[in-house]
Amino acid sequence: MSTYSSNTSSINSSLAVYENNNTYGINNGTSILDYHLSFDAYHYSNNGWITVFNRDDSISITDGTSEINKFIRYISSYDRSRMESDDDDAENRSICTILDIKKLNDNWDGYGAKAIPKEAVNKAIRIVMDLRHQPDIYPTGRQSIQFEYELDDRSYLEFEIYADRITCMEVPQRKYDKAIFHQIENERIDTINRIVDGFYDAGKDNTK
Amino acid sequence: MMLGKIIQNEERLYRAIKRSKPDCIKNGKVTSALYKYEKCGISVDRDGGRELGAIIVFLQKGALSPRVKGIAEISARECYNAGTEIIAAESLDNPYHANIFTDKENEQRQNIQALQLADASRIVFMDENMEWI
Repeated sequence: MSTYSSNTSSINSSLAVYENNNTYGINNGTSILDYHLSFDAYHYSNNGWITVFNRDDSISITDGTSEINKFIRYISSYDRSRMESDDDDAENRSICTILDIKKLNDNWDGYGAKAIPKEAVNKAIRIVMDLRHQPDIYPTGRQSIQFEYELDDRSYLEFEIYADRITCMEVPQRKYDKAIFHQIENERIDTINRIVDGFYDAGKDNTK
Repeated sequence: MMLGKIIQNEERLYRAIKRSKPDCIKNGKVTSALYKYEKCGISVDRDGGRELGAIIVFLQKGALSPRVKGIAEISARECYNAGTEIIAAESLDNPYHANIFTDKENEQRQNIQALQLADASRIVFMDENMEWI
């Protein structure tokens, strides 16, 4: 265990990532799990999950109890109980929805839609982890993942996450001829957050 | 029954929604994601003068059987109003089959049309208890 003490990150006393020469272990306070893990970066969500960005461009989420299709979710018993009781954690729900989309096979819609590429899945996960407002999330029949926002005045905002690009359409109060199309370059989360914030701000103005 | 090749404004079109997780249903309505496709158009069934009950049974026994969770209905008039084309595409298995085509050349227009179609659709059948098998 001492070999993993050189660089430690933790969010509480029972949950930590250990690093040693670019090899990582995950410790739940009593033992080291998956100490051979090799990845580029990791991210603690606010309820104790650890999301791991692997070198093959896949993403893992650890829970410390099992490894399922490389998607592991690591969580201490304390954090697990907290997660299961926290219905308001929109970020986790978004991640779970995207992971469900990842499981969709070819012809998932019964009309020949192809599975969603992993690049789109990974991009969508990276985005939701940094979003200030979580969207409704749906798969499309053209290998993309759609994020949707809607306001009481029926204003609508969507992002469509493809493997190689992101499109964005905003339709104020469902006035189709007033639709706005935003440019999103290089998966810029600051741009996406700015668009979403502006969408909600405009909605507040419309209710005044 | 021989259906005409031209789909009239008064005809109604039906799209089955397969049980999936997640699906394209939001708060009892469909999302525009349901109307986004790659190449071959959006497959629908024409009403063909049938009663709604017969249409539902036909779709439940079709290619998505036994996993039809919902069925969305839209009028041909709404499709034309959105600027989409509807092409009859009957087959030996399905004389009612047709395809809706959004703008092939303009992706922004496609996205608006998909939203318009979703907004104009209503769900006429829903099985919330569709089992995972």
